[in-house]
This record gives sequence, C-alpha cells and structure tokens, in this order.
Amino acid sequence: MIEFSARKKLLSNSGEFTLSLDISIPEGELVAFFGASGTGKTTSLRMIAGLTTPDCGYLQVNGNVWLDSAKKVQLPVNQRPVGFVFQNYALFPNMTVRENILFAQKEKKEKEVQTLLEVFGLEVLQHRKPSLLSGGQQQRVALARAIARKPQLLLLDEPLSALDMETRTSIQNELRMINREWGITTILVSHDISEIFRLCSRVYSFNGNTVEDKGAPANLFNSRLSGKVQFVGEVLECVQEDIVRILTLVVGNTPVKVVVPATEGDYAPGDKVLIASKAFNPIIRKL
Amino acid sequence: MNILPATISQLSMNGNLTWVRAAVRDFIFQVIVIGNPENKLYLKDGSSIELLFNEAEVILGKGSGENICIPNQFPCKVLSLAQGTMFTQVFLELAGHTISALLPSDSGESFSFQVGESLQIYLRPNDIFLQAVEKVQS
Amino acid sequence: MFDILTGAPLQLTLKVSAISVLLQFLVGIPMGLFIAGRSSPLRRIVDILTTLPMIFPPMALGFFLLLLLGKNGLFGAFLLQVFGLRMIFTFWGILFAAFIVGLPFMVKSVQAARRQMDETIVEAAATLGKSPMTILLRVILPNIRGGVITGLLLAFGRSLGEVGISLILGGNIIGRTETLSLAIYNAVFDGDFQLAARLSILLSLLAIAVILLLNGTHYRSFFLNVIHQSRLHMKRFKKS
Repeated sequence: MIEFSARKKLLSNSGEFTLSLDISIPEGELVAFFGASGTGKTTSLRMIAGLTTPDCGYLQVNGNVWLDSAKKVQLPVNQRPVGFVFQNYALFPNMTVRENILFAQKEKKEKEVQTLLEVFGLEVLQHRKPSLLSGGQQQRVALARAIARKPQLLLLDEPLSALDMETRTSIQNELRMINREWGITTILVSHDISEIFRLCSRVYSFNGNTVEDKGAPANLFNSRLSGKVQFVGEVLECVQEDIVRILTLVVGNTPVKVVVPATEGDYAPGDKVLIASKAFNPIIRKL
Repeated sequence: MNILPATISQLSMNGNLTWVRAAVRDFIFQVIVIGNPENKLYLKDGSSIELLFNEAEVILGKGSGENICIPNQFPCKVLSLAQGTMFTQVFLELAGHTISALLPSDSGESFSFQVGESLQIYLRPNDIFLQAVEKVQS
Repeated sequence: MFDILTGAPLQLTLKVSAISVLLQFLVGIPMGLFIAGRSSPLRRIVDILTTLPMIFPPMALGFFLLLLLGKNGLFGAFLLQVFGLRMIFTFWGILFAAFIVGLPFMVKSVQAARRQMDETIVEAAATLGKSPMTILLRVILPNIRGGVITGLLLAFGRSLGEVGISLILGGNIIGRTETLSLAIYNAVFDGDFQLAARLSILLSLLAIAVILLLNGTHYRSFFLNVIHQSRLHMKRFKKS
C-alpha cells in the first residue's frame, strides 16, 4: 500500500494554484494519474520519486516512510527503490543499450540483463548507442533499465505519448506483462483515455487542484447513462452545416462523424466527449 | 439532445431486458433498456431519472395518430422554429418542458408548422436513454 | 638552426603549458560545473571572477596581479611567508599567468556543456540509486567530454600565446622567464627576424600538435563507434 499526501504550490497556464492530494494506492496494481496538462500529474510522480519536494507531505510505501515533512524525514532520490521512466526516456547517451541496463543494476548480473534484453526484444540492438534507436526502441530500453533496478514502484511519465499506434499497443502489452509477471506497483501518467481503459485497474483524476480516486476507469465517465454502446472520443473538428454541426471525433484510433443541432452548445477540438447509442440502434455486420 | 426529468412508475422484466414506464407529469413514457434492477440500481420504482433522446429521433405528426404503432405518443405545442436549408429544428413544449425535433426542411415545409400549433410527438421506446440523476455505481 | 629546440624558451613553454593545462583541467571542471548550477549570488560572483581574465586587458590585469602578488602585496606576502614562494619574476609567475588567462575558456566551455546536457539523465541516474559521485563520474563527465576538450584546446591556445601578463609577472628574464612567445617578441625587438620566424614556426607546430592530439581523442571514439556500428550491420547482414 502506498499512502501519499502532499501540498505543493504550482504554476499553470491559468495562474498559480496549490495542488493538494491525499491518495492511497493498493500494492501491485497498475494505476493511472489522469487529467489535463498542468494539473500536477508529473509533479506528483516526481514527488513520489523524490525529484521534487512538496511544500509539505507524507509518503509511505509498503510500510516504509519515504517522506514526512512534519518529522523532517525525506529519503533522497537515490535511496528510493523506484523505476522512473521519463517522457523523453533519459537514456545515457554515452552508454550502449546493454550498458544502460547494466548501470541500473545494484550488482552486475549479466544473466538478468540478458533476460531483460530478450523480454524487450533488444538483443540485436544491445551494443548500440541510444541516439541510433527509434522512439519505441528507446522506450523499451528505458523500461528495461527501470526494471533492472528492481524497483518497488514503477513510475511512468506519459511513456507512450510520442509513439505511433502500433508501437504503443505492443508496449502497452509489455507494461501489462511487467505488472503481472513482476507484480510491481505501477503508476502511469496519461491523458489517453483508451490507454487507461486498456491498462489500468484504477484511476486517480487530477481536476485542477484536487485529486480524486475514481476507482475503475469506467467510473471516469458518465456511466449513469443507460446506453449500451458508449465510447469516449476526442473532438478533432466541428463544422457548422446548415443549422446542425458535424463533429469529427476520434474514438480509439478511428475517426467518426456525429451530427448535433447547432443549439447543442460549443465543441472545440481537443474536447473529450462521450458517444452513446442505444443497443437497439446501431446496425452491425460481420466482417 | 433532449432531457426530461421523470419518475419511474412501473418496471417489467424479462431476463436482462427491462420495460420501464416513467412519468413526466401525467405523461407515461415507455422505454426499453438492457439490464435489470439487480445490475442497474437506478431501476427502482419511484426513483428519479432523466429521459434522454436525440432530436433527430423525434417524430412529429398532426392528428390523433391512433393507427401508428408507437407507444409513446404525446400532445405538444410548437414554441418556435429554426429554419435551415436542409434541416428545420422545431422547438416544442411538452409537459412544461422544452424539447426540440430535427427534421428535413422539406417535410417541415409540406407540413407548414405554425408557432402555437398543437402537434403529436412520437418516440420509439428503444430510442430513449435513461440516466440516473444522482451518481449510482453501475 | 636547431638550437631553439634545446633552448630554454621551448623547455619553459612546454613545462608551463603542460602544468597549466593540467591545472586548468583539474580546476576548470569543478568550477564550470559549479557555476552551471542554479543561479545564486555566490555562483554569479564566481562566474564574473572567472570570466574577468577573458575580457580584461592583459596588461592591466598583469599590473593588478603584480600589485597583489608582489612581496608587499596581499597574497604575495602571504605566499612568501607561508610557502616561501616568490611569484614575481619567477617560473611561478609565468605559470600563474598562463593558468589564469586560459582558465576562463575551460570554465566557460564546461559550464556551457553542462547547461546543454539533458538534466533528466542526471535525474534518471539518481532514480537508479546512484550516488552523486557515481553520477559525476559515469554520467556527467562522459557527457560533457566535448566541452572539456574544447575548453582545454582554447585554454591551451590562450596560455601558449600569453605575453602581457607573463611579461609583467615574469619580467621577461632571458633563460629564466622567457617563454617562446616572449622569445619571439625579444627576437623581433632585437631585429633578428630569422630567429623570430623559426620560433614562430616552432610555436605554431606546437599548437597544431596539441590540437591534433586533443581532437584525436575526440575523433577516435567517433571512428571507433562508426567501425563498431558497421561491424554490427555486417553481422546482421551475414545472418540474413
């Protein structure tokens, strides 16, 4: 169990605000920090790793206190057993793939490095420098390196946002595998809803200055609605035609179009929407 | 989207399908949903819900509609019209609430709806969504 | 003809440049890393002090240093009393001059390289449980190597050509504090253009040699990397 509470003054586009969070994360789960940008998701992850110090806070991981500002306890970064995967991967440019992973180990164990290289499909690339790798390959090295350190907690800062769909899906499978096989509690910062649905068992929603434990990802959205065909999508485009608007939405990676009356209110690109239909209405054909 | 507050007045179940009767004032709407009171906690006699339906699903007619096979038939009054080339949006008063219907302008013209005119609206039971008013875990 | 190769100026110059480059390496890296950190009043002061010799007129700087390091000067008296070290008109004065004029180039290069470095790799190393010392040796230093080499080159070049301060602090004493640069100056002054030419060629060759040497270490690793990569490609090519 991870008990984490913190207060931290932050700056966002809309000005200064104080992030206040009190959450507990069950051990061994793969959970998501979800919310718009500038709501403190990454900062919270960094506070857990010890890379950022909260104004005040308390952090306990599996019974060990990592931070207790009331008692002036603060474990330095390098004494917290975390695996942090940065948004830009942060691989050591002076080391090869293999050396990056070796460097992360406490005691050098070639055999474990070999296993990790195999699991992440990096064997052929092991003697390359990171600058010669693609984004997906770098991401795999970053994950392998984080795991080589044998962390109690895996912290992933939007690890997949810069990758194409195919790579994304395969790394998502690897993440799920890591969580299952090694049972490492994993926190994933993401604003990709479909990713959260696919991977996470629990979502913490960052709403500006507070953080809410939403439970299962399905609870993030309006499940009060009876429609059985529900998707979460993102508005790509909103065009007025006659007295209606045609919304182009992307659901997963499929673009769809929906017509709404112009009186319905405004939709801007980037807005998240729920698309629902009664189970009776769609037509369906076997492919 | 049209939203009407309603109260569940009667439920009849058949396996995982439920036939819901919900009252908006004196009008009883009939809705069919997948699910039953065991897995949809808001499906309960007397609980407050909202009825949601798409503008484009609203069928308008003049006259009594006795020989049309749709259970949800209610009288309403035209409040205003928004005229487009392709579509016409008709705003209607139904049981004290405002709803709207989106129909092709051609049929709007041929029916020449007038503000203040009394009409009949028709809604299929499988076009209406239910939405719990207070948050209930599904 | 080749007497200049065994003469005192070359020996002195080699000795002074070697020691000052070594000192610039040892002092410049920590200073450069220090001032590359988050801005603070102390950092700004150190930054200004190290940059000073870069832009300050050498003659004026030499004169101030003469006052400061002379046997009645603040530091001069201290050095004389505590270490019995005389700075003025000695080898130490020349070394100090060479060291001080080259240092800013080293410090600034290191600072720039460190600032350019992706900070998240330092954070990544910390999250991997590494101590600050390990991070310095295994992550920071290897990744600012280019800046260190450039800094050493610039510092060496500046030290080699140093005249103004060495003239004032060293006194240009033939056989004792006469560097190659000063020897050229003296030869020109005496009207011996032939000697000046020979000395100039020698000094230039020395500079080129050092550039090649330092660059060599830089390019070598680059070439090794290329060779390594192409070998890997060959291997994969053979496999398929």
